[in-house]
Formats: sequence, C-alpha cells, structure tokens
Amino acid sequence: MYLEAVNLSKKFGNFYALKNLNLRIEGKKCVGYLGPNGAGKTTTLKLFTNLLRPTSGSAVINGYDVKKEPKKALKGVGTLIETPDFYPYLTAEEILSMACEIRGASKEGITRVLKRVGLKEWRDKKVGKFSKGMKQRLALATALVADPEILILDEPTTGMDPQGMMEVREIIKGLKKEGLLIFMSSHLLPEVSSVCDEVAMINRGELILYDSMENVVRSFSSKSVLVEFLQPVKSVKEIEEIGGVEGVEVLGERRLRISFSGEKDEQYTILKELLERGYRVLNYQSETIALEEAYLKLVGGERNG
Amino acid sequence: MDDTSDLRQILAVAKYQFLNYVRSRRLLALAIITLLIGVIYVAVTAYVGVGKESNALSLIRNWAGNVSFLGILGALFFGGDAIAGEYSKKTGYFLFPQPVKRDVIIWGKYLASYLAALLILLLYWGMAILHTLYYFSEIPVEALYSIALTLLFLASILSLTYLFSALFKNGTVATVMVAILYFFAFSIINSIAMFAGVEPWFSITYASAILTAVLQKPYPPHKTVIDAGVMKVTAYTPTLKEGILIFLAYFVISIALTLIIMRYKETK
Repeated sequence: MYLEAVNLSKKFGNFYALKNLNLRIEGKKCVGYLGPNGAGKTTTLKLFTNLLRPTSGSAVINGYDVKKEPKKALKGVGTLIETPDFYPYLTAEEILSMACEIRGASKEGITRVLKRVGLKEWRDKKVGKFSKGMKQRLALATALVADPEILILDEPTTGMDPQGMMEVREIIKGLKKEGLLIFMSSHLLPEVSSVCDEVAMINRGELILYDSMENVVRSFSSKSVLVEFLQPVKSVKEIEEIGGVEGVEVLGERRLRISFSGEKDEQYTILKELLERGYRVLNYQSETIALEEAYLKLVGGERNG
Repeated sequence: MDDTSDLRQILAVAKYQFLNYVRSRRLLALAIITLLIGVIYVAVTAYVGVGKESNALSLIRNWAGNVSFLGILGALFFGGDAIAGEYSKKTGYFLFPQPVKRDVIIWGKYLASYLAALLILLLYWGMAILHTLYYFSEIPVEALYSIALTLLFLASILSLTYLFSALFKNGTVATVMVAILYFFAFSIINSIAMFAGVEPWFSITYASAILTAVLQKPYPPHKTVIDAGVMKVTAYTPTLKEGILIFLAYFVISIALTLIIMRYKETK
C-alpha cells in the first residue's frame, strides 16, 4: 500500500498552491505532514481524495490515478478532510451505514467504530444536533468504518477539546499498531512528534523535508541543555572548562543554558562531571523539541496565508 | 451484482438522501402547501357547486392547472440546493472522497429528489382523483395521460434545476436563481414570444401546457389567432409530440451538462 505524488502541481489562477510535489509514502506507518498556513497541506490531501483536480502531475494510490480512476484509487482509503458536515436529518448510525453501503462494506463494524470515537451513546441521534467536535468524531468514524488500509487525515483534532484531542491521538496510535498507512496533516508539532514515524514538511507549495522522525531528531536536536541547580552557581568559568561544553548562558543565579558539541554521550558526560564537581543538579533537560527546531529552521517562522 | 457496482452505489446515495428529505421540514412544508391548495379547491367547488356543463374531464382539468406550479415547487425544494448545498454546507467533504464516481452521486441524488417531489405530486393527483370520483364516479383515461406527462415534466424541470444547482456554489443563491427563472423569466419570454407571433418552443413552461391540453376534447389547435381589436395576437398550444420532445430535450441536455460540470467541479 502506498500513496505517491508524481510531479503533482495545483494552480489557483496565477498562484501555485502546490508545485511539482514528488513524494512516495509506503508501508505501515504514520506520516505527519507539516507546514504553515497556506503552505499546500490541505491542497495535497484534497488532490489525493478527489476533491481537487491537479493542474499537472498525478496523485496515485496503490497504482491508481485518483483523477482517472477515483473508485479504484479510493477503495481502501478512509478520509477526513477539514470538518465535513452531514445530512442533518440522518442519525450517526445512518451516516455510517451510508458510507458502508457506498463502499460495499459490512455494517458489522459500525458499533465498534462508534464506541472507538466515543459516539456510541449518540448513535440514534440526528447529526444536525451535533457540535463541531462531535461531527469531527463522526467524520473520523466514517473514515474508519469500512476498515481501510490507508487513512488520509487533515488536521484530525481540529475543533476538539483537549480530552478529545488526546483520545483521537490515542486512536491514531492504535491504528498505526494495526498496520495502517496514515498520512496526516497537522500544524500541532507535539501531535506529530508523539504520533508519527515520519515527517514531511512543505512550504510555499514545495516539499522541503521528508525523513524519519528519528533522523529529524538527530539532525535538528538542539545541542543545549537547561540546567537548574539547588544552590547558586559558584563559577560559570569552571563549567565552561568541562570537556564538550561550547558555551554557557546565565539565565538566573541557579539556572544555566549549556551548549555542547557531540551527541547523547557527551550530554551525559557533562552531567556526570557537574555532579562530580559538587554541583547539586535539580533538573537537566534538552531545551527544545527537535521537530520544532527543524520546523523553525526550515520554514523560518514564515506565514504564507 | 457487485457490492460496489454503480447501480448499488446510486441506490445507496438515493436511499439516504431520500430519507433525509422525508424527515426534513421542507417535505412537510410542501405537503402542507399542496394540501391547502387541494382543500381550498374542494371547498370552493362545494360552495359554488359543479355546473351542469361540467364533467369528470373538465373537473380534473381544473385540478391539472396547478400541477406544473407544484412540479416547479418540488424541483426547487428538492433540487435547488441538491448540488450547491454539498459545497456550501460542506457535506461534499464526506460524500466526494468516497470511492464513487461523480456521475453516480449525481444520479443517486437526482433519484432521491425526483421521488421526494413525486410524493407531493402524487398527493395532489390523489386529491384530484378522489374529488372527481366523488362528483362523477369515474376517472377519464385522459387523466392517466396527464399523470404520465407529469412524471416526464418533473424529470425535465428537476434536471434543469440540477443544472443551475451545479453552476452555483451556494444553495440559496441557486434556488433563488431557479425560482426567478421559472416564475418570471420564462413567463416574460413566453409572453413576448406570443406577442411577436413566435412560438416559444424553447420554453419548458410553454411545453407544460400539454399537462392540461391533454385533458381537453378535442385537443386544442396548435395556433389560434385572437382578434383583440387594434391588434391580432397569436396564441400557441404545443402539440402533444412537441411538448414531449421539449421535455425530453430539457431533461437530456440539462442532465448531460450537469454531469460534465460535476466531473470538473472542485471542492476548494
């Protein structure tokens, strides 16, 4: 199972929302799709779900061009794009039945899916009465109800409260374990780093990074630690002399930021040295999340939209 | 039949769309309007009485005079925002990414709209038949022809409404535009054409005159010149064949254009 963008471009008037995207995502994994507002994330996902037609190139799913053969291409694909609305006089169960009948799938999974997204008690209620968060849960249920092998999710936690967001993340983690290929856009970096195995970044319609989360962490990890001491620091100079330390920034009389060269081993050695020299360390942690670092370096804090 | 054959998918879309219509307020509202028209007609007939020259054919012809109006209302209520609403209300984000061809979605929705509007027309025809039976204890065979033509008229008017719905992105705008077209534009065009002595063969509302013409014995002449003193006005009545052809042309051309538009229409 795979998704592939081949020289995929989408132009709105004179503006390229997506420019020559080449990206192949394959296997049982979760890939996060990151970028600032207006970068082309949703455009990409809409091209993969037959909501938009490419200006050039193609969006291919399992060998089928979505534009030319949408029925075959989207057969095993569950989608959640933006926050869809539903026919207001149908119940949650009927919406899922409709999805099953269109897909020729069994309706046996409806109860299980409703339970999974936390809407079991609402199965007989008309969707017109649902809140935005509940509609988002139902949308996720429609994506899951026919047991897809590929999931395309556009900011799946949009409109949800913190509890709902956490539940959806747990659902996605569970689906990953079940062997699905998940392609998920988000602008929530902690969400992507906690859920995804790989990350693709896009800016101004162009792909700027596609790598495993591990490699991104390795390449972009901030090589500095925040250190908090029990007592005021006696001598900053003494700390600067520790092997591997490249610089020390004083943040307070008991707090320092230590920059260093090397990897995890060097980070550990510095801590060990501090303790051996009698410093009573209360807290010692990597300062920033690697993904955030990568995002800021590559996107540069730009806003496209 | 394959579980995901086009036909099965059309029926699935139609089933749930129809269910949504049946439970909606718009079906109830249109049913109330229809019942009101029927009740008023029955009450007036009871008050004034049925004339000695009247017969089953003339009574049911009077009823048939409102069928095209109700058909247009049915098309507006169930077709005006059928496609545009998928974009403006964002239900398309659920439906369009399903593994289903756009043509299949359109046919499924069209079928549901047709059945919902047909319910209203059948309710009206039901009242007309019962009323006629009450006074004359018979139903002329011409009434069945008119009912059959009603089915064709509904198919064509709904097809044209779908075309407008596909052209616009906002359901309300689409519905208002189609209402203006049916209730004003076509009437004005028909009147101007008659004054100019030109037969308005291109107008679907002109063709709808066959719904009542078929209930006249003999069938009215195609062309009548009315001497109005200072000027002569030529009035046209479509022949049965002509009316049917106009209905068919509207149905085929409108639905074909709708399908083409929908193949290219995007959800931005």
